[in-house]
Amino acid sequence: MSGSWNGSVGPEAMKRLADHAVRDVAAALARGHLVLHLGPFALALRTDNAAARDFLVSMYANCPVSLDQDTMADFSLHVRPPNLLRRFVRRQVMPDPGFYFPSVPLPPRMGPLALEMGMNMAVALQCFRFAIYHAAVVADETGAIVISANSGGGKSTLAAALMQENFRLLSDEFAIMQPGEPLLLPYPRPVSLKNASVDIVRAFAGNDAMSGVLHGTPKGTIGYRRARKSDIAAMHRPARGRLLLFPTFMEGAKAEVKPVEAGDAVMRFIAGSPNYHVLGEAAYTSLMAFADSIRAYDITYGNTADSVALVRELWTQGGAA
Amino acid sequence: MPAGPNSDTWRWRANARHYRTHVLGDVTYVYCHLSGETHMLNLVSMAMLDLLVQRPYSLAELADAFPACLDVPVAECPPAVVARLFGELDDVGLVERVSGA
Repeated sequence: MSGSWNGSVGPEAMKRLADHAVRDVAAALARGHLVLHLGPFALALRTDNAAARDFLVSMYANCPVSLDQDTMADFSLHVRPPNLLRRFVRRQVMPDPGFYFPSVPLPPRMGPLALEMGMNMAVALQCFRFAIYHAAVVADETGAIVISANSGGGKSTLAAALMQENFRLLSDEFAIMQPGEPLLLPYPRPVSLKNASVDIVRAFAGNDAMSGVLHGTPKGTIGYRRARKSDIAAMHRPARGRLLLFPTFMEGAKAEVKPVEAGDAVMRFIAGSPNYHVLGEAAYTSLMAFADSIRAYDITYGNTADSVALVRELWTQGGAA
Repeated sequence: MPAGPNSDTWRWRANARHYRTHVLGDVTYVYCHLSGETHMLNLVSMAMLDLLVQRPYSLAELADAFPACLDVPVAECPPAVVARLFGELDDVGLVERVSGA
């Protein structure tokens, strides 16, 4: 899958990030030799931003990495100052995935946000091997729940809550679909939480599951819920979609479920894809098979407990244990 | 002579080898091999596409034949509606002109 083989050593046999000395990790990061092998992608990272480095070491501790300069990668990402001046004066940092996209320079303490945004951009705009849809995905042994929502819809909070219900995390940001067949591939990175969601998830997941909090970012307060060791261990195990949800969080709203016609659900799902039209027939084939295998619902809720109860009910209705 | 699908002398057809279909409830998703685009058609538009696969039609012939195909009187599917539906299929490249230049 990934073009990241290091001699005969596959990602499964590679050392985890936590198995390397921090100074070796920092040196490899500074030279751009650290390659993160996560799900179907190998990403070469380069940065000397201390906040980004510390975040990576903590939140990706269980991910296989190589520190070898000859390792091939699918994408590369440089988290760096926007120019030479901003390396030294009123320092700033921004993600550079190797192509131009509009990005607000951030203060150095927001290196983790630059890192995560850059990793999102690298996959969303450079991946053409798989169909990418903007959605979170969790799964159990019977299938996957795909949560599609615009920013603020509660996608990530719901995904984090379902992790607590023993669903494994496939991805917080992307439903990654195999071309030609409706298999969803894991890409278990930290779950990005905004504003009130940070404390809500911290309350049920615990401090150890969370990153530090970034206040005053362009997106408000940001925190991350880490992918668990078991999520990383299952990162090469795809899942078939069974439930497609379009959640809407409204403070104080009564919990409601409304079925969505498959035809309508598919059109909404395509609207959240950066590369469906590029992949053409392969994406069409897998998406139609996906549409045949799922039930789709709009769900509205006013708190996390209600959202979990709704999803549990829908999941059980579909025949899951 | 007017250009495009408004010409009464031009005849049009749909070539089923140029697309794939998948029915999802009341709509059909059509993948066009020529454009690489996916289109969502309702039952009426899909019926017109199926009709145009059978043989070429001029727009006037289509206006006559399509209501019968739907089993409705002409008053419920007047020529202007047929022309609009046809125009939508033409706009997305699912029909092609075969004669009448």
